[in-house]
Amino acid sequence: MKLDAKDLRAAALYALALAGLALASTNVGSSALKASELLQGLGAMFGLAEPLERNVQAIAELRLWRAICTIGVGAALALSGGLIQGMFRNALASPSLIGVTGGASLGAAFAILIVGGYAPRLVLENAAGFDAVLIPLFSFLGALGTTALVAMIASARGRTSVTTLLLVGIAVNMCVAGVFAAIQFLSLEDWEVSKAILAWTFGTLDDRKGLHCVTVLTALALSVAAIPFVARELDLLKAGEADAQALGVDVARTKRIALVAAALSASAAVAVAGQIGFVGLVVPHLVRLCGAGSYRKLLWHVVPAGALFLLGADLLQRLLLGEGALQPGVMMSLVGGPFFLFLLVRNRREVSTW
Amino acid sequence: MSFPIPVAFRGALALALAACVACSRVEQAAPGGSAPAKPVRIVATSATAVDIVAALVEPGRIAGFPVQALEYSSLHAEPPQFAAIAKFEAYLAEPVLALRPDLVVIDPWQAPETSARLREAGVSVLALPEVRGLEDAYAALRAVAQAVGEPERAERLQGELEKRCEGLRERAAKRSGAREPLRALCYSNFGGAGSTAGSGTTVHAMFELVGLRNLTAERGTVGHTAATFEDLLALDPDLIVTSQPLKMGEGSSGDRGGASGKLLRTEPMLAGLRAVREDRIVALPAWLFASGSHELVTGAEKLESEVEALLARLEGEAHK
Repeated sequence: MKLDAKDLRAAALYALALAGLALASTNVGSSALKASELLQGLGAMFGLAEPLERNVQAIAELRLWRAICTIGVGAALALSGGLIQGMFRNALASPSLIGVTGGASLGAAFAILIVGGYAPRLVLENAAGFDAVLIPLFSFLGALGTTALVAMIASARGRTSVTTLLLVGIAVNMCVAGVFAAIQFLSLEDWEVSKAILAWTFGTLDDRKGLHCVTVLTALALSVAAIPFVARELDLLKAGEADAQALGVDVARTKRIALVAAALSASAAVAVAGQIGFVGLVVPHLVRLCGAGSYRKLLWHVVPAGALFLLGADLLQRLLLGEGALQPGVMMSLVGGPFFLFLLVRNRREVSTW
Repeated sequence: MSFPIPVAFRGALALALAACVACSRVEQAAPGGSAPAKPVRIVATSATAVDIVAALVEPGRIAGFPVQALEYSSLHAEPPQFAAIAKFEAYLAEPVLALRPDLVVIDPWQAPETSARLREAGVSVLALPEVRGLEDAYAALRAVAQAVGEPERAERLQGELEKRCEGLRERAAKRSGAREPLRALCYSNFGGAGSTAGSGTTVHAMFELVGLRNLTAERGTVGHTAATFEDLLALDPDLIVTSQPLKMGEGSSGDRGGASGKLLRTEPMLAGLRAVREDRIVALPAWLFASGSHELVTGAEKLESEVEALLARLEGEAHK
């Protein structure tokens, strides 16, 4: 793929906007931290300045990790949404369709039960010391495992029908949701544990650390690496599988790569930040409305656009409502829904051609 | 365009609304139904209700309580005189009606549909007032005492509680004369998200009785709220109070402070907190940490003993 001057200009603009928003995001928090302290703290993380007093240094680091994590999560969710919409040839598809969100929730619920002490002593003893990684690890495995199950059941003789994938996804999601609801119900009386499970479903960008950032950025990098292998093929698939095949597209391979990349990025995002809906659905649409209609353009644009969208929305709500007023999953549903409706109504004509 | 609403319909609507308001008021103030003057088959449906009922009547007058009370109420030690009493899993009409109660004592947030079914079946249902502090706890005690026909017993109990509170306040005043009151924060985090409690909570009432400064309340927070690592680092409390599960989730931590205490001690980002560095994390049993009854006084006494042990240790370390 060749980059022209327009692409380079867009990349530079995205980079500038992301850097500006990230800096603004690190400047917002529940404690009073001067901009100079913040810059010194951030510099100290890279050995460029003297570290601040221990707690203040930790606050500066937490803010940077939060901003990086938000960038990674927004980008990963948006890319996953773009890939899923391309694979399903449906602009209303999102990562939750293939069981990512449900599987991650189930994994997280199991991990919270272990942290809360609801596991055989042998498991508890071996899990000791791994509490901090248990929830992201289990939700990541839950998301990937559920998606793999959906793909396996939906595939026959190496081929995966999109309709079957969709129906199997719905069925597996229902099963997973049933088990998740059973766990919630059974843990209702232990209010600490049930509160933790409920809180996870709201999504969170608080208290993120380097581990979370590495997880989501690694998965994002792997998924981005898949774009050149599927972008053109997804464009050709728009006209139908038979036509794409006649034009030389290996449809089964394209779907496999798109599915793995989408599942990987969404799983990592949900594992580190909990359930944050709407980004995967709405960002590809915003990018389309800005003129990137083909997947060759859209898949590249959704990555920085998703990062900007979540970072901007998170920053805005923290500035307007204060720290911790709304968790990102709740905020996305409250603001994203009406915003998406507004866009759909305003651009009815364009939408009908998607 | 306007739709004319017939006067009769408006009148009926107003009457219905008035009836609804009246019903909801009755639920808060009086048991409703036809409770005998001295009920003998009382069902308490929450840990708070169990705390109060068990303190006011003999075990023989209690027809049943939820199994969760064995974790979150004063019955956590499973006293033998309560062993034979029936227990139920959930607040549902069928298991409660099966106990043939003449009075059911519930928390204000418990399923209104179930309470409605019980009232329809002729059972008297008393909804406790919401408990946000000591005065609310006394009000709940008096409301139950009235319903079970034991007002003198409640008066005696309240007198004892007031004496205990007086003792707590006096000792707190002595401690604050000797040193600055500890800047404290309660914290709970089971992996989902951290939370703490401001004013208008029973934890705050306990802190006040022990003479601790509640940092969350000093920030102007009312009720329970989220607490991020940044909040903890910015406040850097002298003391962090967590909860320790007793039976449910046993083995979750293997050390003091349950899952929350373990997280505080092992999270590298929080290693700089004074309470972590100097091991100033104390754990209250879950039944006291979450108490919504007069037992919050017992919680305050337990907290006081933890604080005194901590202060003694710190003094010992200072002399070394």
